Amino acid sequence: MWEKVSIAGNSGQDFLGSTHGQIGCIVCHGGTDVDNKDLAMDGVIRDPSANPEQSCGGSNCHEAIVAASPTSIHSNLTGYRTMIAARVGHSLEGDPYLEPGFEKNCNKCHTTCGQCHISRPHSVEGGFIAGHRFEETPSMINQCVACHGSRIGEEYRGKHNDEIPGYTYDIHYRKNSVLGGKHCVNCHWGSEMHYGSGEHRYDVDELITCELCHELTQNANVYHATHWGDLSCHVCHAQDYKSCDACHVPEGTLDRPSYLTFKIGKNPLPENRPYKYVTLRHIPIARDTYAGWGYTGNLPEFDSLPTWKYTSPHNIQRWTARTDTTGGQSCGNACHNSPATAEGFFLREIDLQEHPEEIQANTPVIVPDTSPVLW
Amino acid sequence: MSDTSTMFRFVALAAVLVMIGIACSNSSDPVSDDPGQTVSSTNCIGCHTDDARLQATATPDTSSGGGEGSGEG
Repeated sequence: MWEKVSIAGNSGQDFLGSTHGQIGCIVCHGGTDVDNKDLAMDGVIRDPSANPEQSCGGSNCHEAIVAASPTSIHSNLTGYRTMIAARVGHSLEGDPYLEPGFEKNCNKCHTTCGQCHISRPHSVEGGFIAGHRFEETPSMINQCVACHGSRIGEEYRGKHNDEIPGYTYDIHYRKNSVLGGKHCVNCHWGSEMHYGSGEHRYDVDELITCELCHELTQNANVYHATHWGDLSCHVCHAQDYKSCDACHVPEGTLDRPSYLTFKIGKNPLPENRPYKYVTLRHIPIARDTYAGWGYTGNLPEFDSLPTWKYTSPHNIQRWTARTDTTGGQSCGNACHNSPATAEGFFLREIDLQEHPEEIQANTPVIVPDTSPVLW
Repeated sequence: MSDTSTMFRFVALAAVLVMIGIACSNSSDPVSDDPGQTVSSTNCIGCHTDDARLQATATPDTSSGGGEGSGEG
């Protein structure tokens, strides 16, 4: 689509008049400045920032960010590699099926400077956001949500109200005087995007926590005073969120469509987050997930990690099914009396019956069938 | 030091400087390794700011059948 590479119009003029626009196309993109498309485009580099050391980091520009790029999990997808390796029992490097499969299937979702600041990500077929203008703040819809859309984007914008009456957008999505906007970057700062490294997303030191802004509400009411630190904020203040079952590479087909859940279980990441109980979602891993890459190893370490994973639903509201006090009842009633059924709020033994092959993996995160006041 | 020797040294130095100048001016690499250096992009910008031309170039009309070079003649 030609529109994706047009720099006509005011945005294009802004770019051409900017510092980056003065550099000259060929310096970054290669090619030749001749009046013949085929000759001009010969050797053109679509995304120079895929090699940031030779583009964004050149001439003493953006060196610190570029230096951090190799370890940023937005650049290298370390979290995926960590989890796959843990279940496989060895590193992806050198594996004749997993390494090439990962490179072909998964690695296309890693980002570059340009895919956050100039164009839509390659994984959604690119296209300039504003005539090649370099935008300090990425577009929430066209960039952040373009990749993080099916779960985060839908939940944040309250897109499940056709499935659950009353379902609404995250309170942080509403424009307000405190945040000044509804953009992802209000919480996910550039420092996290650029410098966030670790074994997985919750291992990133720069990742914000709710408490950073809401610490002063620790004793705001009896519920906070009672549960602060033991329950993640999402346990009480998230709405239902998406879970998936058994994804199969390379097409990414699911055994069944994704579905909305709400399950509270034991914290599987106590080394990264302090809470005892957190929200968990079912992730689309199965023993034969990577069979499409030719891998037939059956994930020998499958049971080493739960398939109900720590999650931070982006659909926060003050009043939820957990905090409902309609009729003057204590909001504790909703949780403390939640039945030990598939419809209950807690992840219990009965919830594992649907996937018997995953019982051992998830046993560490389920809670007893009794009321929480007895735990 | 004689005048002849001084003259010889001056001529030799001048020759070296001329050779260095010629070598530098003969660089055939049109693209600088220095991203900070400006290189002409007149044609790139000309096409990418001309939507009509860009559209015609990026999405050529391939619907016409037959014709020269189509293999049907």
